[in-house]
Amino acid sequence: MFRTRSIALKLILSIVSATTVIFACIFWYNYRVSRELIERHAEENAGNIALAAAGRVQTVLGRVETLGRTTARFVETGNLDHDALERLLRDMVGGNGEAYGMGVSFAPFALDPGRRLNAPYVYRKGGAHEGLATLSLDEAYDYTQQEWYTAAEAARAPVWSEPYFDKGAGNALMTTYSVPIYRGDGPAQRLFAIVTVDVALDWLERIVSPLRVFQNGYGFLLSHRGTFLTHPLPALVMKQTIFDVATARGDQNLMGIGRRMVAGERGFVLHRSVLTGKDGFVFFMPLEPTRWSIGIVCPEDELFADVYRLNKVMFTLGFAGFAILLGVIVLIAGSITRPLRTLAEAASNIGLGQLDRGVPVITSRDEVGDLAGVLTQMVASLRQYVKNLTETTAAKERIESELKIAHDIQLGSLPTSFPTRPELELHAVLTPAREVGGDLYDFFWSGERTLCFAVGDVSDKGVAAALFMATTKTLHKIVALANDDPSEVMAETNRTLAAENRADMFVTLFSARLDVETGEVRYCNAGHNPPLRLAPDGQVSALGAATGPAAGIFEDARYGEERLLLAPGEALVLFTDGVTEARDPAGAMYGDDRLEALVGRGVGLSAQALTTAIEHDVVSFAAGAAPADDVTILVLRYLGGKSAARTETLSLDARIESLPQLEPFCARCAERLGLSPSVGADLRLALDELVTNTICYGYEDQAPHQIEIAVARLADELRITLEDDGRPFDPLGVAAPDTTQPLEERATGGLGLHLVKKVMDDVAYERRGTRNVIRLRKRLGGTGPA
Amino acid sequence: MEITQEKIGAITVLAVQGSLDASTSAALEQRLAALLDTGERRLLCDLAGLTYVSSAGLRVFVSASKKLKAQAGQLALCALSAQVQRVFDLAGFSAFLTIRPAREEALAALGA
Repeated sequence: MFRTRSIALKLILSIVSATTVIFACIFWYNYRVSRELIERHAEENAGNIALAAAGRVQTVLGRVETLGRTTARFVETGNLDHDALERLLRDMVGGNGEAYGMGVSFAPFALDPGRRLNAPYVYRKGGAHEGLATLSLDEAYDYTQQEWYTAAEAARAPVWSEPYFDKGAGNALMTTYSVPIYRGDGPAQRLFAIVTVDVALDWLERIVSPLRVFQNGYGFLLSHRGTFLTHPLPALVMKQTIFDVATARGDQNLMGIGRRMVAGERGFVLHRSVLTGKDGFVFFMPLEPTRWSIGIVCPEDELFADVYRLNKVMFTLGFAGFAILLGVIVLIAGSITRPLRTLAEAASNIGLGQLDRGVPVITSRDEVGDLAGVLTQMVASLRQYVKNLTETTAAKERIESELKIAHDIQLGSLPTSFPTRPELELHAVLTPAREVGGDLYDFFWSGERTLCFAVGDVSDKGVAAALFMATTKTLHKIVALANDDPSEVMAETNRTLAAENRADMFVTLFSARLDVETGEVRYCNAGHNPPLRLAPDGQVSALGAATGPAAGIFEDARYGEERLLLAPGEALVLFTDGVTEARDPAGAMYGDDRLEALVGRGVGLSAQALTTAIEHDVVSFAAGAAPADDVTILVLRYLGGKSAARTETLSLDARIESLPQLEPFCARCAERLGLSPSVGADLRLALDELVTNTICYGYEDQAPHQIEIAVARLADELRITLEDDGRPFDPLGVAAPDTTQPLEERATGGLGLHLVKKVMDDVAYERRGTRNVIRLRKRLGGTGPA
Repeated sequence: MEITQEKIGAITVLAVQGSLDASTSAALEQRLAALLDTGERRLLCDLAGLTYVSSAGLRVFVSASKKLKAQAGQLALCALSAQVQRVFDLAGFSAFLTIRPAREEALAALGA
């Protein structure tokens, strides 16, 4: 899904998620560290508070201890009587505000062997200095059973008693410091007395209660048995131990804390407040010289209030930062993608070929700006390219058009109005390999009975060759019309060409002239392919080698003349090497042998048919391969001189009733032209069918018309001409019947023409002016005129 | 062109002489049509005297043969000269028409 969204969204998602992770890490680290710092700080703080409180308690208790020990020293060293002892005690109590009362409890019988218990005691009655009272403890209060006595006796050292409520002293919380005194040395040493100092602990409450840590923190004091000496809950003080509370609450943690406190350890541990029920920390430390323990409770929420506040601020700042970041990203993304979108649109326009609409101006100097610059450049290049292309194309089209014109002019300069005289047939084709070529053919009459004809091949192809070809053709014709000696014609043509040949081109040229009466051909061959001679019996022979060099090279070249006598029915095939050197797609050459074989099969074909046959064979041989050279073919068939030709004619009324006239006419033709009966029969059938066709379909009016028929006997063939002045009607356009079909399924139309084509060798139709001309040819199997 | 008619059994025999071209074929066509109209179903054309035939003449024979076939009849030809036979061959009709060298064979072909 990420792929399809916009760049802006991708940026926002990725940057925000990355930032969130980073922020969360920082936040977490910060929270941990500040929490640790605060914990440490709180521990320190609580420790200091506890230490200060302990200090104050210890000062008081220390004075009490000094008092106790000093008094004990007096009692130990001086043999004091009862009164002196009482005075001492009064002085001591009176001079020390901390002491509530002091006493000296002698061991049984220690001072007075007659008195078991003796213990003077001075105390503050009502609390004032003057209000000191004295009482003497005796059997009524057997102090030797009291804890303060037994503990000191057992410890053989001064001890602090467990605090207690003293009913006699106004139900005040008290504790007693007992200092034992011994007499005698070594094994004889025995307990002499125990000096006690009673201390009211109301001040203790005053010291511990005000201890405040944050809003709801508090301090408390435990005795060495775990009894609460002070606590904000009065219900606990001196009534319950910490263990009682822990058991009642099932609080193992509190139990543990209690154990550690009673053991005199120091610590700072998590603890749920007994007072508020909230989580918090408790700091505890022993309180010397007693075995008490002081505890300071710090509520967690207050302890970390700053951290929580700081976190809130950080969160707020973080979110504000996110919002700003988001805004900035959206702005940046927008500033990147907006021009990108514009560019994309512009690029799409360019793609559609709309180069005029330009590229939107983008002023930023970043990559997008670069892209815009590149696009602008591209559009400019494209415009230039299109312009160049247009110009080039136009120029190419102009050249092609001119080449087409040149092609038309060149082909137009070749004569295509082939001779129609009965003595001969001549046909030629020229197919340039390119638009214009260097081949040429030409024929023209230089007299009543002399036909000049030539085929040439300029050494090059293309425009230059075409120009050279045009020059050669014109020059040759001018020279040949003025001179009837072929060798002189060739020499003159060569001289003129060579003199003005700047491009060092040359042309191979076969130039000949035919005397149509005699069939004599005089020719010069300037380096051209020897033409082929086709005899009526199918024999093919090449004329002799060239009689001189190609024209246009050596100004003073000489050319020999050759002669040959064409018998009626013989043909000459002139060609250029575009025929024999044509190549098929595999590169094989057409070759002289194939041409000779083809020409050999051309006996009886008209000049046009033979020309077309060769042309088609070359094309089919090439099988689509591009021709490398111009292809030129010229075929001349000599049919015999006019003196040898005989013609019969008939002018027929265009009526069906005239048909019977054909029988005697054909009989006459057969007789006078020396035709065999079967040829005569074929002649009649052909004439009958064509005439019937013309009479039936050839006229649109009822006016009388004539059909002119001419039958000419040439050397080896019969030439028949039918002319009428009917509407244009090409009988060859009628479809031939399919003679393999059963009669029932066969259309009878076209049957007549089918028969004509069967009995004749060639049928041609031509509309000449207002007349239809049908030409028929029938070969006579090589038999000469009778 | 001349046409002589005779009857051999159930078969009508027409002897055609002279030239059969577009100017004369109409006469033969009418004669054959008339015979068909009178209910003749088996016809023999003896062409021994026919010196020439054109496509117009061929059409007459083909047309008559088609009509007779359609009515369960039959047309036969006999005694064609080489020239006439050649025209029939060129037209490709020889294979589709009943053509016999001698009259007797043609009559036999017609079931005489």
